[in-house]
Amino acid sequence: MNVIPASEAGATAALQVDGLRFAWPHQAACIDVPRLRIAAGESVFLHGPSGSGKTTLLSLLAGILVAQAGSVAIGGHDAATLPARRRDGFRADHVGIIFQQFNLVPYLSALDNVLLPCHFSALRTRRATMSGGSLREEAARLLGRLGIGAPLRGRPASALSVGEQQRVAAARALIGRPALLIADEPTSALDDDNAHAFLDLLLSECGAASALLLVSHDLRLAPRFARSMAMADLNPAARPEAWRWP
Amino acid sequence: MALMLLACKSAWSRRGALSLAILSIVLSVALLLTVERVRHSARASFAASLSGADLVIGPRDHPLRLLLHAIFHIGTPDTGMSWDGARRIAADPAVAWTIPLALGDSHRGFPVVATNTSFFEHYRYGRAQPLAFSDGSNAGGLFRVVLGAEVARRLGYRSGDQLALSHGGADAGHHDARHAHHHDKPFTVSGVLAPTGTPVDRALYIGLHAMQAIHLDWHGGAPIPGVSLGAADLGKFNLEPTQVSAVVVGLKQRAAVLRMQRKFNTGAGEPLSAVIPAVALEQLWDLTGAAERVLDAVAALVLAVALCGLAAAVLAGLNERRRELAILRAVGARPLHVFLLLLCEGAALTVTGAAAGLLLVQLAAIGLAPWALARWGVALDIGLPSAAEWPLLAEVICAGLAASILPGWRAYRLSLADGLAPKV
Amino acid sequence: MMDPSRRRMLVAAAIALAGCSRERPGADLHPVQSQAATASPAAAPAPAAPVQEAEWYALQPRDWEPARTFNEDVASLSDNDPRAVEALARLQQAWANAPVEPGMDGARIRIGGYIIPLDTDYGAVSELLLVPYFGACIHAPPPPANQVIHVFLPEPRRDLRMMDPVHVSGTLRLARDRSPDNVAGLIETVGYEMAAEAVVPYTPDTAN
Repeated sequence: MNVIPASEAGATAALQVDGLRFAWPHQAACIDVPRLRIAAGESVFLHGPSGSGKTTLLSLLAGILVAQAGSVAIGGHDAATLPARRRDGFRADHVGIIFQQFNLVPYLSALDNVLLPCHFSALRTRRATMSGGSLREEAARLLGRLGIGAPLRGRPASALSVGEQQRVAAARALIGRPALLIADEPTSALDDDNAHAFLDLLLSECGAASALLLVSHDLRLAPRFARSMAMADLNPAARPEAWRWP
Repeated sequence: MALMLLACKSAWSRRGALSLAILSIVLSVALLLTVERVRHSARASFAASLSGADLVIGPRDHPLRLLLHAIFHIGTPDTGMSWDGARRIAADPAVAWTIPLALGDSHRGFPVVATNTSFFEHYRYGRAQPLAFSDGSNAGGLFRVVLGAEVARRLGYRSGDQLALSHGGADAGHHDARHAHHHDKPFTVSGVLAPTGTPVDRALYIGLHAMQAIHLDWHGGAPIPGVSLGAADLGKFNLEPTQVSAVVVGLKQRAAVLRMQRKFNTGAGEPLSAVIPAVALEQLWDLTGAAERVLDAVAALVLAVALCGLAAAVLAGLNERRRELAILRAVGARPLHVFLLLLCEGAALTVTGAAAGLLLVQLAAIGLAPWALARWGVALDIGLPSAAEWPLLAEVICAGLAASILPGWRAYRLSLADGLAPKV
Repeated sequence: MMDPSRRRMLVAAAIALAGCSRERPGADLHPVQSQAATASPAAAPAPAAPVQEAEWYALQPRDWEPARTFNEDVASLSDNDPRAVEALARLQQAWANAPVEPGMDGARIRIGGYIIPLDTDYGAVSELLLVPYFGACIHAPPPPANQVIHVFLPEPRRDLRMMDPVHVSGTLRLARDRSPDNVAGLIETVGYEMAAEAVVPYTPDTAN
């Protein structure tokens, strides 16, 4: 595990959200988050059933969507004020994302998938090669720590099992030590044993370097995190009363 | 560039669906290049067929017809020019040398040209290159024949072999058993010319006296029944030719060609046409220019169709790639990157198709070159692409890029709309 | 009825002669801004003379008057009068033997005219004749021998076509009779030739 410089750890919050409001066109606001803080290197569990707006929230945090009001600051940099073309670069620099499934580009090898963020971020490339090795060595090292052995690394991603794919996705999100990792139901497609093993690896690799925000409907995962919260508390607009049932 | 590598790997993973689109690009590029190469080769070959000659003079006729018949052995004129007329031309004080040519007979589809030693001395082709013998020489008896390189190669003749000529009909390009033959007077191959890449290669050369000799007992294109003159009897007859097809003229002063042309064109006596070869060839290209432009337009249209097919194939496959695009956006790709990715893919596919098309044309040219030389006297260019073909290839790639704009734009919009969660 | 082409030739000859035999005031050559020559280092040891714009009549000796071959008034002859035919033959003879202007030998000039291609290098024009007027070998009579320049191009050109108007720059030389049966010692000059330095297609901009 890399030693995190003291200036990074604990000095700047990994995620700082204030007064975030978002509504789809011609609809009532579905995201209304007054406050959210995640410290550097902290791991947070966010419980949210399907339909509670978690994907929208994650898109806002990742800079894919632009909020109508409020601010989102990652690693101390405010993303909301950036113009569109800079937001994607910002995401490349500071955010790693893990989906529930189909995380990988199927025709690329596991190693090439891990290297993808580095193509779009010079900052992460720099951080990844800080210890003196090449990018490919760092990627291989990460994969090794996540349990992907050397024979698997060169195989196309479509040839890996679901569990292996999720671990490669984790390596891709972790390379270059981004400030914030966002995981959207990463264990929902895995069986229980694999899910637990995956979570152990993910938490240990994030360590104190990258903060982790994991969103899931599975409450059994919550105890392993330093902090847990519910979408319903975080986002008042997502209360069941706000939904319109036919 | 990493984006280009990604695009290539992506395209490779979908090679099954794209293969037909690429095949149509290969064929359309091959068509485009073939039209250009044939045009270039034909023009260079025709222009190289005669060098250093000032005039070609023959019976009054369209200048092109005269040149095509006399030099390229294409077509049959209605009449010939008198031998006296040819001698008067040779005697003109402004004339340095003349090469009389008489066509009419053939051998297994190749034209026979009757001429004199002046041909081997003064005929030039290409960049003022003289004729050379690869085998034998022009020395021999009355019934000797010198073969062009392609005739000897195709029919397997060497010095010393014997052959019989046929009367008429070399234009058909094939051996016709219905033609009457001069079997009673066989010719001996005295030499074979080195390859020139011009119609010289596909002709046989005999002496004017020999041509007269084999037609002594003929009249009107057929042997006179009951009359048979053996070789031994020929010494009793005057073997001066009576008619020639044309005379190639070299002047002492090239600058005098204009007034000499006028002089022979308007002189008293038999009506003649005096042709400046370079000028007549330009008229030929003016004639074929319209057809060439049509061919160019057709080839361009075919390419457009092929590129539309490619764009359609990529567009159709975009739906399955929305997940892939969402992943790229998640790791930090901008929608612009997605657009460029599709553009790179289009460029890579077009380049692949164009390269394969070029290879196809090269192979076809190498395969067809001997036939083109034997049939038309045209040397097909089998070297690297000419100066005109590289810009064509560049235009093809630009067109491929333009065709990729539509799929790129669609992918751009899709990735914008889908964000991290495509609706697949 | 005289052959129409002969009548045209007589008329054209009369017009051309009317222009030729008039005394021109002033200099025949007027200097033009020197053009940088594409001369190779081995070409001229001394600095090359400046290129001068030349007119076609400068290539004729001032005292050359082919009109003298017309002993009678052409207009008074009827069409098929043998004297007209003879006059035409004498005219053609005079034009064939048109003398050169010796002073033009070695002159570095730039002159405009029309192209007649003579020889090609696999389709690229390498030698051409420069003539003063359009159609010199199509439907108009050929120019006299001192109004034709035999031009050798430095490099074969694919862009030059029959009857293209161009400006040619180079050093004009008197052409000598090079035929093999020319008796040594009898050097007869028979026209002009030029090794061109530049051949520029005519546009209104290049006219000056």
